[in-house]
Amino acid sequence: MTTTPTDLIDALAPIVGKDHLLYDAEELLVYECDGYIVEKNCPDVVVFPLTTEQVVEIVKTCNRFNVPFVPRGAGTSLAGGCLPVGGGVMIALTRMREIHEIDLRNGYAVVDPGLVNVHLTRNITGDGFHYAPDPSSQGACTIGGNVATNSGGPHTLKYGVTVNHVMGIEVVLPDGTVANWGGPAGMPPGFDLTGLFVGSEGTFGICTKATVRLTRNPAAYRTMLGIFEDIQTATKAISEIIGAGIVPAALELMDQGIIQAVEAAFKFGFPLDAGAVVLIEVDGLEVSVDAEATRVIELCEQVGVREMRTANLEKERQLLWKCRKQAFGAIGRLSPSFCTQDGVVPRTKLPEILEFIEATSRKYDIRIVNVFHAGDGNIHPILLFDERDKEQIQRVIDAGDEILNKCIELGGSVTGEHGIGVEDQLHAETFHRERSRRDAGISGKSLILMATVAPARCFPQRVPAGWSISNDLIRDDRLLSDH
Amino acid sequence: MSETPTDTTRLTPANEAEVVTLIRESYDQSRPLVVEGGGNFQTYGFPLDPALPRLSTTGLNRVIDYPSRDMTITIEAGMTFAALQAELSREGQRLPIDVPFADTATVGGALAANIFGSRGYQLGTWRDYLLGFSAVDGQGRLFKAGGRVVKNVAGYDLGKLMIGSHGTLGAITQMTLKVKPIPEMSRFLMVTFKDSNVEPTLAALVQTETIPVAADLLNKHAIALLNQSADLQIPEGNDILLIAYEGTEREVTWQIEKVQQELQAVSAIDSMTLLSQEQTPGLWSCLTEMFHHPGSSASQNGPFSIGFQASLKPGDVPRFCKHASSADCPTKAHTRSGFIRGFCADWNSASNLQKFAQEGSGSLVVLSSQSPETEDEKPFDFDPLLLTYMRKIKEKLDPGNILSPGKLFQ
Repeated sequence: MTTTPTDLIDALAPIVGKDHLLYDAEELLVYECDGYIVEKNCPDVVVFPLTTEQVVEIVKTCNRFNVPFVPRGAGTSLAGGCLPVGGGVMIALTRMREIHEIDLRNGYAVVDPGLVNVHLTRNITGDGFHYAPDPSSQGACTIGGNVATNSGGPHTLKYGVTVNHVMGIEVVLPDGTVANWGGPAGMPPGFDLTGLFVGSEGTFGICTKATVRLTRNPAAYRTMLGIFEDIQTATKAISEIIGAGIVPAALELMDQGIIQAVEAAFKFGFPLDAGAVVLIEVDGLEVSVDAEATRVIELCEQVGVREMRTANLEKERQLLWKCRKQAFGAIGRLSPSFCTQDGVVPRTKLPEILEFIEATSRKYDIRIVNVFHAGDGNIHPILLFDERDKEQIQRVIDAGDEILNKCIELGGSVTGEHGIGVEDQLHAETFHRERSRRDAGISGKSLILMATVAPARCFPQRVPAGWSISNDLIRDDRLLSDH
Repeated sequence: MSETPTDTTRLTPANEAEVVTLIRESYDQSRPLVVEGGGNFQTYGFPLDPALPRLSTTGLNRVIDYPSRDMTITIEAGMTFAALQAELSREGQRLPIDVPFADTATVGGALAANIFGSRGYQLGTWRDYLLGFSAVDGQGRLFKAGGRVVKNVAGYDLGKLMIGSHGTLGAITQMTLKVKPIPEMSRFLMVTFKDSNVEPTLAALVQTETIPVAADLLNKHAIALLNQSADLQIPEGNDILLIAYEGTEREVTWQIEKVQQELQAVSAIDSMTLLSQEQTPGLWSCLTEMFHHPGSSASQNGPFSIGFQASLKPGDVPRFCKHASSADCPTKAHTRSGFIRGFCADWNSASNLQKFAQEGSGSLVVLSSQSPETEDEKPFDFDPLLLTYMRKIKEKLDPGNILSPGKLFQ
């Protein structure tokens, strides 16, 4: 690790106060990775600002010292989204967690980036509203992190991903300028820079406030569990439901490996011999949910579901969702380490990709379990391994590569909701290079870069020799010349 | 547009490669051009020289891929909106965005102009349906972003930039869209008021247990226009609210009964009438069409030669509409989203409304094929920092400034 210049720490400490700054090697270990543990690197300093003004001062200081900086929310990314490649200053936004405004009449809230996702919903649920994007990590992940990665979640099948719910943002640009784009008053004229910023993974700047849409709670839910002999029949049922024009609120698949892990953890009563279970939730009007649920059950029966169960009580529904959302936590029972991939395929290609995952698991002798947003075609194969065994790590990386390449081959994408982070850089490069070759054109990805806040991440490019921070648009001609 | 260029200035490439060639040549020769679809939405922004050659994408009109069971479709951007809906309807599906002049408006043009209507709040706008696209930039380079799957965060979401870019960043050639099933039924409930106090009704509607797909407030001047367009015989005294529901017959019937119960306690309401099934398609059509294209339909819109679109907080809608009414401007407000379309007699009146909208943290775009009359009058008022970044993006995608130069900024 490079030695951090004392004068950088001396410059940062007055901005946030010395209690909100970490630089001891042992303390920095917490920030060496996020949920993607395959790659690790410590930042040189972690700062915890409380206000936008402090973020501005930190950014300006980083510019002055010519050191890179990377924003971080709760660090729940599964793709190395906030890995401080090459060190530098990590700006942890978890102290900025205020709700500045809730306006139910106008349907929005203005929140700090470090606010935990579910805390917003908890604040408004009594009034009959919620914040719709619900990543499985919503009990820990932050709204700023969701904005950076354009997070999805189980209910985004019906309600859309983060960008569909962000109306405006305050951002600190790489030169320390504060910009306000969008806002609660509908769609202002001009280019949609809010839409462009969401999902830019901290590379355009740091989100310091977000104006988000609040959604009315549905009047009724029906939550069902389809139990299938094998994963192929389960994916066929999913295909039938979507093909019939039904858009459930959520359509989540868990395979046998996951079922066994969550059953051991939560004792829901999942059948341990089932090949897969599908958690299906329909919501909407009290008058229509029963008819929709009946239709879903019919479609599952047509493809040969073994058993359909319905969560009759709210307590049962909550437990079912707990099993699904905390499935990743339960994986600790299966192996010491795991790596989650995040591919997308057209929904009708789900049976094909799952067969491929099974074959890949056999080929590399790496156990792979699956829990994913089936309704979106968004797979999350979880590769189980022991990180102490370097040879296993290589097999995990190779198996993951093959799966994501297959997603591209099937007309899909290398990331549906986790972002590119560091994990997907090479795949992103393949994704865009394949596309460029096919089209003899240039990829949208490489076309414009607004800034280089986290220059080694997000872009399929080499780590620059020197960190440059600029708010100029720069063209990434290096990628073009690679073709 | 009020001026109609001769056909010799209209270029209609037949495929993507021809679009690339045309734009590359224009770039090499520093020859500006206007990218358009059907040319229906060119009143946005500063008027362009009518002698500029126009590159129309109408020759690119094929369906590329329609995996209906995946609920997505990939088409060439010059397909008309009506042709797209006809293709989708064969599979019982639709794109639920309200686009006027569907027989001539292209899908790419409607997206580039960010045209949407009454269903926008509940069912979404282009932002919610565009999954991926191809376009040709100002140097004649084909580029792509997004994909054909319903979820994708691999790379910057450049689609968001293309929506509302009005052909200034590139010529969209292909797009993949999410689609939805066609509902079994659609009906309107018409609410009339005893006086001008509509806010209690709109506030009550925020808390409704029903799910309206539209809730449009029309002022008396707009009602007069509506009555001219369709045989609805709506009373022209006060504002009316048109609440629309879509779904199965059971869902629609239940919701119409439910919302009437919910609104019963609102004393300002004079009447609530369920419009007939026969009236419904005509009313949708009127709501979609009637606040567009003021430049070439002066006879339809009487003295109103200028259009506008305003974005406000929903709670500011009643005050704005009242103000517009006092200036004799017809308005149609999507009350759930705060988006308003309307007409004015002249630039001065439009500018006054623009100031009024901005005072309430909103914005207003004046739509006119005529140039502003004074320096203070402008179609829109961009935030200076936003404008700086818009210029930077424009410079990167169109370094020769050949794509509709000066349409959004100089």
